[in-house]
Amino acid sequence: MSHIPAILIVEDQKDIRDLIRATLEFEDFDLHEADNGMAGLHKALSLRPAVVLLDVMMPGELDGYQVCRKIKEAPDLRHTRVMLLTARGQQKDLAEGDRAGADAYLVKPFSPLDLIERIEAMLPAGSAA
Amino acid sequence: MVSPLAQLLMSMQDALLLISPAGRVKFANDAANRRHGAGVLADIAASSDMQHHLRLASIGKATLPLSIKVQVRPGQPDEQTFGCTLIQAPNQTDFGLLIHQTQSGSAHAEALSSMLEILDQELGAPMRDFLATAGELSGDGPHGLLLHEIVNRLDKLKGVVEVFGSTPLIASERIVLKELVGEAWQSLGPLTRSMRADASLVGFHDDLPPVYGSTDWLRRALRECMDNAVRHSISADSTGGGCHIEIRASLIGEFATLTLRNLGVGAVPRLGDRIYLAFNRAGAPRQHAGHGMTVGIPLSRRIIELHGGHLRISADDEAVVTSIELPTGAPRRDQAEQNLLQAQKYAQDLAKLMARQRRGARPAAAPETPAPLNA
Repeated sequence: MSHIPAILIVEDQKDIRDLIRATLEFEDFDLHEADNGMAGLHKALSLRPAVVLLDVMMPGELDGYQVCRKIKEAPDLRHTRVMLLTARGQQKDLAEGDRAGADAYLVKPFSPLDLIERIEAMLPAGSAA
Repeated sequence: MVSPLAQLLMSMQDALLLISPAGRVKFANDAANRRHGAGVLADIAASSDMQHHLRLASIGKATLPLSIKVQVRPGQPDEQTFGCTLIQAPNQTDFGLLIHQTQSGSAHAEALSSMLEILDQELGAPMRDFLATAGELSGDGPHGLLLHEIVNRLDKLKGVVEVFGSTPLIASERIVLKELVGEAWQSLGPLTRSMRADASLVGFHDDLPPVYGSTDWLRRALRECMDNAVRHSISADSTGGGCHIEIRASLIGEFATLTLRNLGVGAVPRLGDRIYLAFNRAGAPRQHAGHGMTVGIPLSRRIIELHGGHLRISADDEAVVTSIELPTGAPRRDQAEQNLLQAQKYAQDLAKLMARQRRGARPAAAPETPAPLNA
């Protein structure tokens, strides 16, 4: 029985979450969502997803960089890959993402096809949908 | 790319908000942000008057457009009343709120704006040149301290021109509070050395969330608050030692609070709410004759409110306490334009996604065979 990778979408904008979900439903993923950083972190710790798609600029207690950092520091999530999604593509934002330990960085508006291909590239061999 | 409608709304001279039926500000044009700031706009949307009218409008019990009065912070020293017009938004779901200026308010604002523009034109260029040069000359001796004080005052006046004038305060930089506090304290240099002032930081752990806004302006606001705290401490002359400022960070809900606490009963008990008023010379604090508060605190308050936060200064028997609240995380902004672009990308890729699925790695699921009824 093949393993279906779990993907967690952490994004405060519902429209974007819905678009990402609609995109990823073309593939065989187990999809989960959270609308803020703190909820996203808690879900990641309980789900242990293969990939977390993480918006950077979210209101609330934790922004994307902080969630990314905490995911990367969690022993139980050492196999989880993090892709940051952001409308800001300046060099300092990319550098901040690197410091936070992000595995990939996608600037909005992004190509959904590009999103799928990048996710598949991040998955362990043999688990791509 | 900004849509024509958004451009039109942004260029309007009247302050305009787009508000959801639940009272969330989804859009504010330049005039609204410039005149009132994010904090006041949020207070208007959240006020009981506004909530009442939104409820009625949502259930069709109010005829739009509707002229209303919205009271913000009733019963408090900074209570304000706004004359507004509530209209239906173009999307037929949300509501638009035009915030009018009163006749006298309009005249006052025009006069202030003119005065500040003249100030900027006549002094702006030489002030900036002087500041650029003065930094190299400033030292810690008597002349250096005086020069630093003059530069400080000129800098505040320049800040007043920019913050209270027509220059928009728009930035979305990610700001780590510990770094901001450190930079602001360092910028006080000669003052803290002359006062033998030191500071301790409490609660600035790695989990403290960042705030978003203008690093330069928030640093300026924090610097003014620190300047005020140091000047109104018990000085080295009276105690034999230097003054100490405790700077504490805490998180309350989605607001980060910075609390500056200095030992020294200074100007606040005598001034009360007058400390927040611009262009109101407060008079000399106990230990520093000739150094009034002038525009520093009002400048800070304006900057903090433009970032959606609040500034309060109070005093007890032991200390003057300055509290700065700032919303954490990225500001909620209407991203309709960006969502539209993302939807367009999705539409462009849709055919490729479907083709990819048809070629795809997994076969389509076999249709389920209904079980015979008589099995």
